[in-house]
Amino acid sequence: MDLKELKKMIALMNENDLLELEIEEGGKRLRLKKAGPPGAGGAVPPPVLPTAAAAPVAPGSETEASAEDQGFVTIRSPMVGTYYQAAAPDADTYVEYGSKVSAETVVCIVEAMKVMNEIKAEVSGEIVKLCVKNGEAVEYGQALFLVKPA
Amino acid sequence: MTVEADRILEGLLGALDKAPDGVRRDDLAEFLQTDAAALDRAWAALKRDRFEVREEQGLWTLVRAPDRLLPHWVRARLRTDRIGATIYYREEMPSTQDAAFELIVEGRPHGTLVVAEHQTSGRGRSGRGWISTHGRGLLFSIVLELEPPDTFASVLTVATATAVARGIRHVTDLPATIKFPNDILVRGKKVAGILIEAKDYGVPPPRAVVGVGVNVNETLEDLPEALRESATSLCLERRDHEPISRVALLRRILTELERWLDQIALGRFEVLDEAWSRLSGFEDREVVFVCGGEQVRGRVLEAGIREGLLLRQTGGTEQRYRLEHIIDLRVQ
Repeated sequence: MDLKELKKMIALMNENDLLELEIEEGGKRLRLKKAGPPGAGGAVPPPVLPTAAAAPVAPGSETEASAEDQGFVTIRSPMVGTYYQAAAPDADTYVEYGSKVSAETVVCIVEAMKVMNEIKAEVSGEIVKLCVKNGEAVEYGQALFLVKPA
Repeated sequence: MTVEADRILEGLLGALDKAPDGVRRDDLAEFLQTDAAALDRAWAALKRDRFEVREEQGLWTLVRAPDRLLPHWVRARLRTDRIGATIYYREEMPSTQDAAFELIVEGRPHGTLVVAEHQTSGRGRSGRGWISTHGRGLLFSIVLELEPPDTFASVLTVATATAVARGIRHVTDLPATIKFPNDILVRGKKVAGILIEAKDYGVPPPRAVVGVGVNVNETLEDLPEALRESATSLCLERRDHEPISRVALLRRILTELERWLDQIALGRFEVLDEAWSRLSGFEDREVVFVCGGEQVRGRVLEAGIREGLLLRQTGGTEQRYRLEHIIDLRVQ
């Protein structure tokens, strides 16, 4: 690849807000990655408010990055609240490790001030990691699940 | 009813309401820029809607208005811009909340109000029922835009709870307080509840439905026996048990809500935070709650939508908690 080609690619990335671009010419491999909302690829702005439960981004944030490199998709919390794996304490959990999900599958609830928010997978595949514990406080953009896309 | 007929009816009610000694029929036609026939039709409609009216020598007087939540009557004296600009009213519907969601799908804007005299399958949180007696309670739902989307729950809950508590205080003089996050109490008993629901329609902007249920003129018999210890109505809490105008209460709550949402949109949180904190009984009090599964205790130093709760804890350390992370809060 010459400098001209490289410049072209950088321009392409800028134009399309691409975070990553991977090209392998012989084996014809191409992988593009966009900075999708909310903050895919670790581009989450830090929470404005420090809280007692401010640790939660830590569990597996490193593995999360490498997991995304392996082509896994992260399901993130669209809001601030408390994470619940089931609709009620005695109800079945929405998903567990290995569950197959489609875009419309409800994977968990994030509750904030008694407002119940059903979170959908928005991707088809298989749950390969549960990133938060039941009842844990979550921040905006925090990783909730890793999905291996179908 | 046509838009024009609605306008005349609303204008007629507004004019009559402002003039207890009556208005000349001829002046009304001129004021409302309409003809005699249209005015007569509006007059007949008022009678049909059970407004007690009098006509004497060309002077029209409103003697008494029914306490029905009729759109033109609500709007006749409503001083809001967007909240309640469109009102959907039925004597009876399964749930104002469900009806509001249907209206979102139809593309109805921010501020659309749904109101009924009675709900046949009203719901509270987690699918619990909300019991209502025809014409006694105040039940309504409002379509609101979610702004900002990640913390809408705290914004809408704080604004609505404050609007309802202050509305009750204004119209009844009863000492309404907020039980965090979404109940309104009078002397420790529940008089109103707030239910906020958001669904993803994939059509921006994202919107929520804010549902409010207030026990207004219910008698003791109207309240389910199991709830009489913990719930009450505004009328029951009044010394004279005098009925309260639900229309006046609705107008006041809508006016308050719009005012607070406008303040938030302008980034002015201080006045709302202070009113809400006072009504919640937080000021300089000790609170206990659960956050992320852990029990937390401390004295409230600050409380607000953006700041959350700032607590002084044992040993003098200060810690902040987001409102969205607080569960099962009790003021000690």
